[in-house]
Amino acid sequence: MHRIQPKPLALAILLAFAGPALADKQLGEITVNSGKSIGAKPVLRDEIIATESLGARELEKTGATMLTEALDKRPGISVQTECSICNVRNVVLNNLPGRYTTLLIDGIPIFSSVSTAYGLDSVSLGGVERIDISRGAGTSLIAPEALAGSVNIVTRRPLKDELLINQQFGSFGHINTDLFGAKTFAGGALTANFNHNVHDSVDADGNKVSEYTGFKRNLGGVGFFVDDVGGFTIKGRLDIVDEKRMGGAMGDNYSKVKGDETGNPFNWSKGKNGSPNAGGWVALDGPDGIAGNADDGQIRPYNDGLGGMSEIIFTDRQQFVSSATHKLGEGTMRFALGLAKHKQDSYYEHAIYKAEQLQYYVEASTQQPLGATLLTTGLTYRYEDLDSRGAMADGTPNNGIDNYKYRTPGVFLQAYHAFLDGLVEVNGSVRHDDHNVFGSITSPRLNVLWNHSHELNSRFAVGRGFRAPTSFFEQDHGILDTSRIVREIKEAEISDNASYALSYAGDRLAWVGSLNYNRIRNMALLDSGATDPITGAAITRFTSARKPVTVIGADITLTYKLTPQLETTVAAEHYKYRFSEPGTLAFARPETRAYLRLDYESGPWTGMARGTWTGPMDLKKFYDYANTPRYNFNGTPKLDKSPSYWTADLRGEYRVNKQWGFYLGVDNLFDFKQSDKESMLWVDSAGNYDVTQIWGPNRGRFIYGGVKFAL
Amino acid sequence: MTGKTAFCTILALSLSAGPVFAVDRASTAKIPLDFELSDGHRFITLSSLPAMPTVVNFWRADCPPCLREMPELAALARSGQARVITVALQRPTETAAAPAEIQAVLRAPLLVLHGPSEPRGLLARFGNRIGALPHTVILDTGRRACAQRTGEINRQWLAASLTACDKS
Repeated sequence: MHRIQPKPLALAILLAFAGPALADKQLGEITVNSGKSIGAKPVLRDEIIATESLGARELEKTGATMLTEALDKRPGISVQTECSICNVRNVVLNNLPGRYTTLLIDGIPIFSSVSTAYGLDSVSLGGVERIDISRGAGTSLIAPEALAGSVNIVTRRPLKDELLINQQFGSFGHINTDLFGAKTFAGGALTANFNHNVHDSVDADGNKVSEYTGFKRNLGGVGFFVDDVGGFTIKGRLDIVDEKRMGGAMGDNYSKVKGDETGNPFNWSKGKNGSPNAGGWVALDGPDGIAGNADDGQIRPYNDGLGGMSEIIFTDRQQFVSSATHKLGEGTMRFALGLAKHKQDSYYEHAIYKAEQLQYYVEASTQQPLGATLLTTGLTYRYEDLDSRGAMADGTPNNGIDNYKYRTPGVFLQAYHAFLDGLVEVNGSVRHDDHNVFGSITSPRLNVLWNHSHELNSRFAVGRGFRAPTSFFEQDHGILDTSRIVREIKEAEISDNASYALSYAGDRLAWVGSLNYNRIRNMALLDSGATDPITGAAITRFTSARKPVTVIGADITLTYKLTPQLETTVAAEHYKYRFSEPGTLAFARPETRAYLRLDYESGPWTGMARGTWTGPMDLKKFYDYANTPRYNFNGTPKLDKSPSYWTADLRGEYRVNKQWGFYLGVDNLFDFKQSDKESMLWVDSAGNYDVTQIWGPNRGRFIYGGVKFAL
Repeated sequence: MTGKTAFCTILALSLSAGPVFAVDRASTAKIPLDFELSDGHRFITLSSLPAMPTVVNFWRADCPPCLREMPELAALARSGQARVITVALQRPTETAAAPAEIQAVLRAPLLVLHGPSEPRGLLARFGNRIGALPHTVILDTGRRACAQRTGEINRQWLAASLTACDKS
């Protein structure tokens, strides 16, 4: 039997051709092993240069049932909740706003604006091989809008027939069912996955307004892998999402809540610093909003029913991604296609917003050796169309307030070269995009990897990204009670990023330390306080920041194998934020976080204990108290600084045999909740309320357990 | 020099400079190799084992060529011609997913170890900077690499490489 004997050059080319979507897969007779666990993954040949990679086993160990849970609580990576009653969650890289993180499925960007708002919770983890995280604008050649970085979900190509079932139950009515099946055949495989996930809304402070949004979610998908059809290697997947969520009012009777528009079903006296009156709250300047007259400090009664304090979002999404590779000369060519149709039917405190978003992504690229340099060049075309209809709380239609249609053809060129017998690797690239609204934009990047020794290396990256602001949803999903939005944005958001990472990978000890610098110009801003000069109606200005925002961070992660069964990880991060215009960094974030983790594995037993310390947040600055003071329902001022806090998570698993396994876990073991210290709701001096005083966990102790079956 | 000029200069340099991809040649250097890895119960250092020709094989349970060559490695271990060490680059529970016939050969005299969760340094030390599997290295009695191969091996390659190592 003839077997290949790959020479170094041929092997390098083979690997280079693998691309981001094929790494860690069988490639003929070679399997490429991706670096997992901590630290840099210094592979500079790829279009997406991962700085962290989470394998399927790591995802399983955290007990995550959705993408946002899987990514949270890692140095430089976190998940930020930006609404206490609808629980919009963003994946935050380097503590930059979540809209600057681009999500890719098998290297194809297919999420944006509306779909990013609620879509990230609806990304299935079924059949995922690993998640590659690329921090920094210079890391992703095909996603220039990823100003903070990208998250790429890599689908696993099954090598044998599989059936995996995971049934989980937890506190707060949580039920999660995962089904995954794979059928292999000569030269390919088919997969199918289904996820059913429900969770009740949670009200910890007793005011009958939820802090954790209840949801019912059904995800389904099929995947296909064909190793050779006419010389093409093809893979693809189709995913369907159906999600309903409601926050504010408890329960899941959506129609009842929408129809309940008067009276006070809530108790505003409950919770920390609750109102002296269950029927309303203190308005320091009085209900008329004017300071210094007789009504100062009076109670502003609430009379908007269940609907006035509730947000209900129905999501209906279909997406398809596929890629095909073919040998071309000494190299290869690749075609990629992404299609997504995303519908959101939502109700925000009496206002209606219904959006339909259509996205296409097409890519044709080739990788060719040119002498000793590996060149990658390609064309991309991105299309986004958002069409919305809606009505203000008083019923006034505001159809199309955030409609946009973006067409962005682009071209990119990347060169990879290794010097000094592979000790130094350099990847330089440039891409040029022609945006139909913002014009021509060029974004370069450069990555250098220096292998000091087999175990120690340095990686330096600089890059530029650009991003065309889309809908107001990026900043504030809740600003819907407006007659129109005036777009005053003339320039795209531009980021300049530089980072340096030093990493060591020994047999028992591994560590990585990184520094990163991010400067963002023309940050998109919303001003919802404007009025139409002619009609006097409330309007919203969508404009750009005049001054840049800078975020500088450092993080270090250290992992040490204490015994053959026990591994510990210690990590810390520290960030500095320089911004002066309110609304740029609109949500509070800490300067410092620290992480402790123990992983145990012995025979059939697996255990994980994780502690996360979050330092104080400068609420006064992030929430712009200077211009908009925030108050509790009893009229006392909100905290200037949030307290530091720990959360602890535990999970244990026992595998009875190859087929059966059982697990039990606790998230937030010590039951720390923000609502014990401060409500996530706040009022201004006139008594107008909002739902964005967020700095801590919105759910307390969560106990879960389940059974897994594999065939 | 402006930022654009600097970028173009570096790009041009990278295009015009001499050859080489970032792949290790068969040059793990003539220095004794070592590791400290777990067998599930204790840490084993290569240097603490009795001196004898040693085959070190890096593999994963989800790598078909790795599985195909495993019986040959087990047969070699049983023959006593050389010590054979398999290093799984995944967690023990993942290794347990290997087919039953593979599990059956993963026993003494094979020395079955597990690599670190970040195997980059270990692989590079054993001449495999790119991280491709399977990867096999033959060490002489002084723990110096005398043959290595990335890709599936067979009985002939093992025999020829051990003979060559013996002569060297």
